[in-house]
Amino acid sequence: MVPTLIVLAVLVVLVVIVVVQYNGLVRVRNLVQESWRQVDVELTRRHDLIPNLVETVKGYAAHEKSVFEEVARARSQAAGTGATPEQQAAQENELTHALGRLFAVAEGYPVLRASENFQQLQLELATTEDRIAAGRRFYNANVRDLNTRVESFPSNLIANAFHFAKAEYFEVEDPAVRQAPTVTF
Amino acid sequence: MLWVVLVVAALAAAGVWYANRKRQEAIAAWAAAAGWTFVGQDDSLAFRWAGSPFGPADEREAVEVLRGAYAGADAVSFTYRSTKVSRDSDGKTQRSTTTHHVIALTLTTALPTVEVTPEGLGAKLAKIVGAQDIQFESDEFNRAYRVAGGEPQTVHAVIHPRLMERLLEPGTRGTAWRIEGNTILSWRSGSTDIDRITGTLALLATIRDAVPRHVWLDHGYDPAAAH
Repeated sequence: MVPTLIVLAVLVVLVVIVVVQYNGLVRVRNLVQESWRQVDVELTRRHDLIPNLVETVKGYAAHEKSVFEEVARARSQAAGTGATPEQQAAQENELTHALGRLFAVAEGYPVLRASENFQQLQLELATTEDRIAAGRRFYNANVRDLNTRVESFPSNLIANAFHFAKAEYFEVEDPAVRQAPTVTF
Repeated sequence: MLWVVLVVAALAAAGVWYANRKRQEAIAAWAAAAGWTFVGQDDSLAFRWAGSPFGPADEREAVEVLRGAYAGADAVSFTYRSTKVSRDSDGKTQRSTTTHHVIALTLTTALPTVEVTPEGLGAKLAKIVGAQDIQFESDEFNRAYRVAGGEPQTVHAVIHPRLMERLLEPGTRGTAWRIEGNTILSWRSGSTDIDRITGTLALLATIRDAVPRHVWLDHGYDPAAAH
């Protein structure tokens, strides 16, 4: 009788552990998906700002066609659907490079740089970039949590049994972050 | 023999009274030099916030209250005393009083709660039994601080890499602070230390100014419009 009770108790504890681990994995996986949707919202906000920005610069530098075409192409690609985080990151990096060239063109037109409309667009774009950075960090934190659970013992046993997979990080080029620190000796 | 005890007790009481008076004079002198007002006691401050160190207490008071302005915002510094009253097994009343120096800076608008406290033994033990705080990309920051907040996404937006770097600097490390409502405050054990006030306010203003624009926008304020 006693050995049977002990076996039953052990089985109950094991079932509870499995349920808790499984639910934890589900919770974190849902957090990853939800936070990716938030990133997508901010990326869409960025993509929506760009046509207005291009039109404003065109009003002063209509001859810089190659730059405008590059921005339009990069924007169109980034705004497409179905990309994985890694693919989306590559597309956003290309768009960032194209925007960099657009702003380099704008640098040559002081009247454009001084225009209220252009300054407002720059401010909105910078704020959107901050939103994306914050959303990306939150998404990556959730991915880190999920990947740690998928890889660590004993949650990896549950993850493998129920086919939980690791998620991809979303890494984009952030000029401010990647600026080389000043080193003094 | 009794008179010796009485004389010693009287001298001790006089010493305490004198030390306290000098202390109050030093605080008043600091206020005058800084353009602040030494209010004295304002117990409404003891009930203004919900988080640490304003936890459950039977008695509360806010003394040595200093009010002024810093970096374009209203600021306050005070000594917060909270007392818990209990009865021991013999029915005798036991009083346990804790004292904290609290410094607060008013924000333009209310923001979701973000609390950053030094990682202490209590927090480490809590983690062992499953109480997790919010983790960030910097392992050094995660080991130095415990972070909590009502909205994880806002917490991640507020605690960004540049702010983490600032909070890990030698003069700043170990400072507890919290954004609660329309205030950012810091607290530490002990009575008012006037030598801490300016430095702590500078840190609180730095943290306030480091909050990204989009966080303010999401809560009804545009810092760009204000400037």
